[in-house]
Amino acid sequence: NLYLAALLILSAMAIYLGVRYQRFAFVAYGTLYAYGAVSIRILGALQEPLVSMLYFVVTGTLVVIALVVLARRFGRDE
Amino acid sequence: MSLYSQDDERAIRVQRLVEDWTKSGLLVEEQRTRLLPELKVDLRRTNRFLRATMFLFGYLILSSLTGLFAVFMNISESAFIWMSLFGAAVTFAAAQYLVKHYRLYRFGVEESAAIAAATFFVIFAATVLSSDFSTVTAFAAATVASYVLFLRFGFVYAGVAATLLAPMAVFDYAETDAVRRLIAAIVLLTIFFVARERRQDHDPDFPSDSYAAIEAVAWAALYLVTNLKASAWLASVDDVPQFYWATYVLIWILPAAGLWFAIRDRHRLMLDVNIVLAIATMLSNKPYLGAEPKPWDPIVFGLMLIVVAIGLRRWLASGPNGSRAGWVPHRLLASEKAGLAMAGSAAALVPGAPAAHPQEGPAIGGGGRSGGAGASGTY
Repeated sequence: NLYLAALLILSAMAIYLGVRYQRFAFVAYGTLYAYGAVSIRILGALQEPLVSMLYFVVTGTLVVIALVVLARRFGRDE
Repeated sequence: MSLYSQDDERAIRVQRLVEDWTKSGLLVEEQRTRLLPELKVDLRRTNRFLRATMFLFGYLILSSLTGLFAVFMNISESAFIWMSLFGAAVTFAAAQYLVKHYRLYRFGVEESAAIAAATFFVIFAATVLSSDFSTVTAFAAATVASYVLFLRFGFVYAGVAATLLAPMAVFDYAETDAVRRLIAAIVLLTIFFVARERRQDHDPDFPSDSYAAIEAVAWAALYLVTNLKASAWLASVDDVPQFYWATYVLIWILPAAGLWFAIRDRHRLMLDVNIVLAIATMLSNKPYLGAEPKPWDPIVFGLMLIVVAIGLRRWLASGPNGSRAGWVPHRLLASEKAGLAMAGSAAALVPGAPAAHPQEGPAIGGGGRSGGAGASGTY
């Protein structure tokens, strides 16, 4: 649990600093690692394949919406 | 055929060039500021990191939706085949909708839908005709799907994938390795010449850069199927001496011919690819001849490359105005310098020289670590 907390804090820092300094590699790192860490814990508790797929659809959609909003406000073209 | 207009594609490419020329000092900031408004496009774009992340999550969402649908509907195995076709049609339509309605360009989300459509189509094609998964049909379907994505959305990586997948269908079909490689070579040579012709038709505008990439990849893949030592992992080689030595001759001819094409056409990607292929040929020489590799081989090879590079640079610089036929010895663009730095970093991943034979200590005394009867040979 301590490891998860530390990982989430570091991911949040990576996302915040990545947005602030326009280094979007770090936004991607923070998002992926945080999502992966939380998903592993949640899926381990869920066990049901149906609920797991529903989890991916809902949370994945939320992440995509958040990234689209971020891209519109801060993401520069490359 | 393409969802994007040629004008938009050209404007995006010229934008990238303007940014690169400004970073390289070929344009000043005022020129850049004056040029960019004329190159504005009404498309939503983003940077590569957000694009990659959105692609991953987009693909995850689509795969999970498909799984949910299959579980909810309690799909049987036979129905799954037709569900794959339905999924391909729906995701392809979704990708087109995202582009037409939201004006997305390399945004990750529409790419994930397009790739998912290709995946579903491959599953459908590979399972519709037989109960077992047919790899030949899968590769053929993947080639067609990738090419459609290249034509419709302009994804260069889809065009490259189609180029690499086309000969794979042959590899799974033919029985003898020599026949497999010959047919694969014919397929790749055909792709090379078609792409070359299409590139020359449009040079230097879009879509010549896309076809240039396909041309270079087809040539590299042709070399790979020809070089039996470099592609031993692809298929076990037949014991046919004539074929073996014919490929040995070809691995010397192909890079030379490729370099000639590249210099004549000023085809940068082809030049880079064939330099790598020439190096691969020199590395394959000893294995082909059955000679024993020595520990100093990488040192000699590295020294030879340094001598060639310095000699070529001096020869180019000694020409009138420091160039020869427009070829200069230094990098002009910031993007090329960045690429070279990345290649230099990748050199750190190259495996070391073959290990020397370990020397056993003397029978009397058994050797020693520091002085004594003798040290061990490995260090």
